[in-house]
Amino acid sequence: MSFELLQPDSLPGALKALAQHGDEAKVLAGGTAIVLMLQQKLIAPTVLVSVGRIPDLAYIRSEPDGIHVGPLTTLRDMERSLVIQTHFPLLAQASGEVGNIRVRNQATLGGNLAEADYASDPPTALLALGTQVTATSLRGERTIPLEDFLIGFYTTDLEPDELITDVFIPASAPGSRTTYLKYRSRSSEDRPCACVAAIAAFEAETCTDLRVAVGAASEVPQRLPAVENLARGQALTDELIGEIAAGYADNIDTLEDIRGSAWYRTQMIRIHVVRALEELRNGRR
Amino acid sequence: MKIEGSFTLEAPIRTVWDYLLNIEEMSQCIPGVSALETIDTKSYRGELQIKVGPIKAAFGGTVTLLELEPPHRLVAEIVADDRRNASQVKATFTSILKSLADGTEVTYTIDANVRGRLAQFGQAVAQSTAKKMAAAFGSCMQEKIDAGETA
Ligand SMILES: Cc1cc2nc3c(=O)[nH]c(=O)nc-3n(C[C@H](O)[C@H](O)[C@H](O)COP(=O)(O)OP(=O)(O)OC[C@H]3O[C@@H](n4cnc5c(N)ncnc54)[C@H](O)[C@@H]3O)c2cc1C
Repeated sequence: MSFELLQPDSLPGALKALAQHGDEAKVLAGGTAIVLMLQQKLIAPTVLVSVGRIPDLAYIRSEPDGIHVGPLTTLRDMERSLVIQTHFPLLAQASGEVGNIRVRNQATLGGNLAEADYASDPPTALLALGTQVTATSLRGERTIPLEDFLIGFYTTDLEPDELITDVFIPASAPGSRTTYLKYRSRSSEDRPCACVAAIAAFEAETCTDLRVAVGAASEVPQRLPAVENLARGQALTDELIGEIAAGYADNIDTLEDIRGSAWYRTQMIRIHVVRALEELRNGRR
Repeated sequence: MKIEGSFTLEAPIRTVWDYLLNIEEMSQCIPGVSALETIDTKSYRGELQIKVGPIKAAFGGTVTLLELEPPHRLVAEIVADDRRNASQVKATFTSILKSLADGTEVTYTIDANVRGRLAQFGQAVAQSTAKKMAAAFGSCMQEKIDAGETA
């Protein structure tokens, strides 16, 4: 393993290094994913650009329309943030479900999103929340909705010279109920076999808005707006919940890996969408 | 590891078979294949590059036609390795052609044994990569067939 380690202490410095080395360079944040890939020699960059010394990339900033989370924020800080626990409990939950505490202390949000491993927790919660990712390069800055950012297995919309510089999560309707369910098929510290993030707003018993994202069961986490819309203006009866769960189970092309077969994942989607929606209807937050 | 899939071509089964068996032409339709050379009438040597996210694999190896039942079924054996990723693949490729009312359905099954560093990516990644490659292959073959018909 031989590469040059660059540790720029400013954002422009890091962007310049990435622009210079292009495809030959890799960003290093918490290192939990990339160090494994280097050790296994799956990637062989000639330059590693560490972003750890750039100031002000780790933050959780609350604004009237939502929160901004810096890419270097660790999953542990997100899990423990009072702002996130209060306004986005779903995200605190999903961050807190990742691996084990040693991983969460080290793993960053930017690294989790850029790694784009299908068997991940935060992206599914963030998709349900309508997250926007900001990518910056010397060429400028652009904001990408998360559904367009995540393209496929280990593949994102990022160009080699771009850094994730901000993650924006819009506020949900006041009084929204949310939940995150992670299903593990192996050990208690494992990545998910399937996971469900759900957000619902109610007026009395009537559901006025529903958002459901299912992750880890297919190449990228998915929302199905046509199925979500079945709930709009309706009471979440057992029958309707069953119909929505079937909509997700039937329309997601599930994958097969060591955590479960495609058929098994379809069943897990059905069961966990039912559980998530029952939880929202019954009022737990 | 078993990978399966299918695609449909708008051409009679005989035409599809002939195009598939024209290995040098056909191989141009497989994304990432280069440097294909004929060893003899049944074996070929070539290279295949695949990219999944940040990971690049470059396999070099041979393809040997084991069974040919024109125009319905072919079986080939693939033996390849990727030096940089210290990985080996041994696979049996079976393709079955079926006449449809308006074309031909091509079904493929790859029974692969992957060893080495790339093995950890497993079924899910391999299946999806194969599906994308098959889709690209199918539309490229269709173009070749259509061009051949008008020529
Ligand atoms: C034992 C273990 C268990 C785990 N369990 C889970 C789990 O249950 N659920 C789950 O969701 N995840 C799990 N993970 C994955 C973990 O969440 C990710 O490895 C981590 O979030 C990556 O963040 P990092 O800061 O360590 O990234 P790094 O390893 O530093 O980088 C990862 C990738 O992101 C790129 N990158 C990093 N920051 C940026 C940036 N700002 N802009 C552009 N590119 C960037 C890097 O170039 C690299 O390609 C587990 C990991 C381990 C090791």
